[in-house]
Amino acid sequence: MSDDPGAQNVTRGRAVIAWVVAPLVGIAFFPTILLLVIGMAPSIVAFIIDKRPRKVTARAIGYLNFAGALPYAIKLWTGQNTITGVMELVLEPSALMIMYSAAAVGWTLNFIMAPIMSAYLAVQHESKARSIGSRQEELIKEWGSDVKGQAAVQAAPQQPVGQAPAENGEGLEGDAGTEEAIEEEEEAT
Amino acid sequence: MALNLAGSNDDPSSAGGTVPLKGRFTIDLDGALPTYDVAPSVAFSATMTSDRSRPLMALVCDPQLPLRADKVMPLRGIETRTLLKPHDWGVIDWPVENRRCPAVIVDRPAGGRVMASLDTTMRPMHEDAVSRMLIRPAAELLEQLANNNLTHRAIRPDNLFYVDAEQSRMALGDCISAPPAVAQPLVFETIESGMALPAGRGDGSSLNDLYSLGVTILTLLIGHVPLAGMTDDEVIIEKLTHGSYNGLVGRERLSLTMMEVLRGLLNDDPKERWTVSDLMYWSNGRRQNPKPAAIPRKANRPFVFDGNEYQTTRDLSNAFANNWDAAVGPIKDGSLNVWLRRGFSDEELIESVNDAMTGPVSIERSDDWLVSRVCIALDPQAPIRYRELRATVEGLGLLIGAYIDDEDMRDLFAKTLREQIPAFWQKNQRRLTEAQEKFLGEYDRARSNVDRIGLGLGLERVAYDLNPNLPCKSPIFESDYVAEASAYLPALEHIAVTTGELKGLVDRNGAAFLASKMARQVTADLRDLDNKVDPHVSLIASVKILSTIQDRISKREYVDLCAAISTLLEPSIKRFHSRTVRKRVREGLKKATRGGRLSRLVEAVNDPRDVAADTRAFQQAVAVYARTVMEDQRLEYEKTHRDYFAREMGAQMSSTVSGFITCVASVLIFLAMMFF
Repeated sequence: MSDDPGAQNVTRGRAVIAWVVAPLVGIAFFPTILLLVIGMAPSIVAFIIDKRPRKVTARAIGYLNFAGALPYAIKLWTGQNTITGVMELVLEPSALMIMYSAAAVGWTLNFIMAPIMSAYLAVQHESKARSIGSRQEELIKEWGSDVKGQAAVQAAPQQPVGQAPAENGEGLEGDAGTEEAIEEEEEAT
Repeated sequence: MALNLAGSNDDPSSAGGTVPLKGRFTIDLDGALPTYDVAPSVAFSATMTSDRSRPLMALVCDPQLPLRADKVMPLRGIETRTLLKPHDWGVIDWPVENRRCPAVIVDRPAGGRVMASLDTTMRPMHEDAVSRMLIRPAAELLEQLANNNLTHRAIRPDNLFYVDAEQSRMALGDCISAPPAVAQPLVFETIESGMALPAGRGDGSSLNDLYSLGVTILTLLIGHVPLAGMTDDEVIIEKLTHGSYNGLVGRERLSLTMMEVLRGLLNDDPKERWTVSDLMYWSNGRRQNPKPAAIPRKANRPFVFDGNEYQTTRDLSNAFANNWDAAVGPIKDGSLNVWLRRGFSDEELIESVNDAMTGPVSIERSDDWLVSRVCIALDPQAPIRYRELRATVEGLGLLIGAYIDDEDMRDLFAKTLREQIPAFWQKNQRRLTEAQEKFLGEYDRARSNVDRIGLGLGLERVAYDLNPNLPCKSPIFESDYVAEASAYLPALEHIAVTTGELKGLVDRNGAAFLASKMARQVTADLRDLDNKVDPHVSLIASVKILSTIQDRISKREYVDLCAAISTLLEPSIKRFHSRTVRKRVREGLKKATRGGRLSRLVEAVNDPRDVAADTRAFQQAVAVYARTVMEDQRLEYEKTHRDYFAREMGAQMSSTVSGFITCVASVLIFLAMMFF
C-alpha cells in the first residue's frame, strides 16, 4: 500500500467510480451498454488477448469497432431505447456485420502496419548510420584519433547489455580505417 | 679537443684563405707563425683592417680551455712595450679543426723567441743584457700590472721575445690565451703553486710573477732551465728540502749582483720575497740585501712514513699528500701527534693538528677529510689538497671549470666544499689577501649549490659562477666556443645554418651557464625547463630563456635560428588537439620565424587562452563522439531486433491511425444522423 496521500486519493476516487458511478451509469444507460457489449465483442476479446501494457492492438480494434457501433447507438437513442430495441438492432444481420467489419479493419490495420514500419525502420537506420558515421568522421578530422580513444573510455561503461563483442569490434575496425584515411589525407595536405 | 701545436707547423696551408674576426681583423690561414706559438695556442699572421701595416698575429686558442677574456681590455689599456699586448679577442671559424675557436689578436714581435725551447740549451746571456733587456722593463711592467690588479702568470723563457730584429729589447709574450699558469713548467712556479694541478694554480699575485721572473732570469743567465731532467715531484722535494734559491741556483756561478736579485725573487716566504718596488729599487741601482730564506724548523728526530724519513712538517705534509691512503694510519694511531709533541715544542702547531682531527659534528668525518685537514695544518702555505684534487685557494674554482666533465674530480670538488676544507684552510692562515678572502666567500656561497640537482644549479652552476671566463661546456656547442651569454644565440644560429638542425637548446650545462650569467631573468623559466612530466613545458621554457637573451642582450633578429626552433616546436604544436588550431599556430610560427623574434615564437605556440580553449573544446568533442558511439550501438541493437521494433511501432501506429479515423468517422456519423 502506498503511503503517498495523493496516490491514496486517486485510489479512493477510482473506487468511488467503480462501485458507485459505474453501476448507476450501467443502470441508467443499460440498453446502450448492452448494445456496445454485443457490438464490440471483438474488441473485448482483443483487450483480453493483447499482452502489451498499453493494449495498443486492442485500442486500434476498439476505436474502429466503436466507430462501427456508433450509428446503431445513435439509432437506439433516437428510437426505442429499450432492451427490445437493442435486440431488434442486434438481430439485424447487417448491423452486426458492420460493427464486426469495423473491428476487422482495425485488425487488418494492425497486421499491415508492422511490415510498413519494418521497411520504414530499415530506411531510417541506414540514414542514421550514415549520419553517425559522418559526424564521427568530422570529429576525427578535426580532433584526430585521440578523440575516439578517449570517447571509447567514456562510452565503454554505458554499452547496452547483451551487445555482441564481435559487432563492436567490427565497428571499431571500420572507424580505424576511416581515421587512417583522414590522417593520410592530412599529411598529404 | 686540444689544438695540436704541430698543426701550424705541419700543414697550415691545407685550409688556406683568411678568416675575419669581428670585422676588424683578418687572420691569414696561410700565414702560420710557429716561431710565435705559445702553448697551447698556435700563432697565425693577422692584419688590422684599418691599419694593415701594423704587425699583428692571432693566437688561436685551445677551445677546451677558458682564455682570460676579462683581462684583454685592462691589458690593452696598459702603456708598455714589454708585453705583446692583446688587442681583441673573438671566436673564429677554424677550418683546420673544422670547428670554431677563440683567437686573440696580439702584437707580433719583429725578433724571435729568446729561448727556442725549454728542453734545449742556449748560450748564457750576459747579466748586463739580462738586466737591461729583461729585469728593468719587466719590473716596470709588473708594477703596472700590480697597480691594475693584474698578473701575467706565463713568464718563462720560451714566452719571451725580442721585440726588434736587432734583438735589443725583450717583451713578455701572451698571457691571455690560456688559464693562468696552466702551461708553466713546475720549476717556474712557486712551491705552493707548483704543488697545485696546472689548472688549479689561479691568478695568484705579482709575487707569483716575480718568482717566475726570477727563474726566467736564472735560466737566461745559465743558458738552460734549472733542475732540468727532474720530475715534478723531484723538483718540489728539491725546493722543499733546500729552498727554491738554493735548489735552483745550486752550484751555478753567478755574480753577487745577480745572486742578490735572485735571492730576493726566489725567496719561498711570500712575506720576504721581493716585491715589485724592491725590484724597481734594485734596477735603479739601489742594492739591498734580501733576507735569506728562513730555514724550516726541523724535528729532533725524523718521522718515518712509508719508508722515508721526514724532519719538517712541510715535507711530511707533501709526503702525506703524495701517499694519501697510507697517511691515514699515522694520523689515526697517534704517532703523528707523538712526533709533533716530542719533535716540536710548538703548541700552536700541535693545537692546529688536533683541531684538524676534530671538527663540526655536522660534517661527515671521512679519512679523506682527515688527511686533507692534517695536510693543511702541517703546511698552511700549501694548496688545498683532497686526494687527486690540488689547487690554490685562488685556483680551486678554475680547477672545477677545467675538470667539469671529470666525474672523479667533480666528486672530490664537491666533497671539498661540502666538508668545508677551504674554511679550514682559511682558519690556518695568519693573513689573507683581499683576493683570497673574496674566493673563500664565493666557495662558502657555492657550497649551497653543490648538492642541488635542479637545472641551473649543481656543480655546473658552481663551475660557471667561479669561472666567469669558462665557455659553455654543453655538447650542443661541442664545435663552438661560447663564453658569454651574448654569444649563445649566435652560436645556436651558426649551428642551425651549418647543420640545418639543432640537437637541443638549453641542456644542463647550458642552463647552468645562463643561470650564472643572468640568474634573475631566467630563474622562473629554469624551473619549467626542469619539468620532467610535460616535455612541451620544458621545450617552451628553453625557447623562453633564449627569447630573454634576445630581448635583453642580443637585441637582433635570428631568422635561421627561429626556423630551426620552429622545427623543434612541431611536437608542441601537436599538443593542440584541434587541427584548425594547429594550422593557425603553424601559420603563426611561420610568421614569427620571418620576423626572427623568439618571443613571437613563444607567443604563437604558447598562448594560454588557446591552450585552455583547445582543451575545453576537445573535452566537448570527446563527449560528442562518445554520444555518437552510444547512438551507433543503439542503432546496431535496433537493426538486430528490427522485427520486434517494427511490430511495436506498427501496433502503436495502427492504434493512432484507427483513433484518428474513429474521431473523423464519429463526427461524420453523428452529423449525418442528426441532420439527414
